[in-house]
Amino acid sequence: MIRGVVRPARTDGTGFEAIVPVDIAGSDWRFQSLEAVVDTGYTGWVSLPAPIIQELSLQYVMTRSTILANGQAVATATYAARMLWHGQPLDVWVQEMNNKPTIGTDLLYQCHLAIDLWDGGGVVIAERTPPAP
Amino acid sequence: MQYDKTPEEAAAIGRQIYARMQAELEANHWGRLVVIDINSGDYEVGDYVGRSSDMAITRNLLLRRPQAHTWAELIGKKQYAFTQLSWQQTAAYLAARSEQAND
Repeated sequence: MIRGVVRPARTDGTGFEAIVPVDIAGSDWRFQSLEAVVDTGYTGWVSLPAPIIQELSLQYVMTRSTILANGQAVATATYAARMLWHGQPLDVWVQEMNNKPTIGTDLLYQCHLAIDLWDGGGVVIAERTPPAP
Repeated sequence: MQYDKTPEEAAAIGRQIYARMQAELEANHWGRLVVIDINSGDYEVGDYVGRSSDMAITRNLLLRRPQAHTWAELIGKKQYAFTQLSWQQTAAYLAARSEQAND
């Protein structure tokens, strides 16, 4: 189970975001702990800003077409990384995005996400096995 | 960053290589995913059942070409989108773009 906290999204105290700790590494397996925003509007695994990608020495493996929320398709740089997720190593693709570290629904697949939406509220991501169809 | 081409330049090269092989790929691999190394032109084709397919096909190509820098197309389809970004990410992306344009 991964536990996080709800914090104001902006310095003026307006808006809230769910923050969880994530451990992420390049091919050298030197894990670094980061705080990431949980964003269910993002369908990927992880997006990180360029300085953090550089610090982790992630391997640049691909450029892929990505759809912005306004429908426009753009090319983004994508890197190979490893995460510790629910205590297990997991290979993920990291997209370079000039934004706070963000985790999306690919990473939340087969998880239960609960957010107490107030300043200081709890965030829980728990592993789940989907019911048989 | 580590790359010598911007994502837009890499995408343009990927699209050019795909365009050269398009007729042959469409005849033999309609609906499958092709992952192309834009440096060598080497490529790998596999069945597409979601983003995990892209990951598996790309890894196969990386085994052969460890330094590959890849682009992917869904064969015969108009557009292949790897992910969709949220409004927050979109706002950050557009803000960074307009900053670059003003530089």
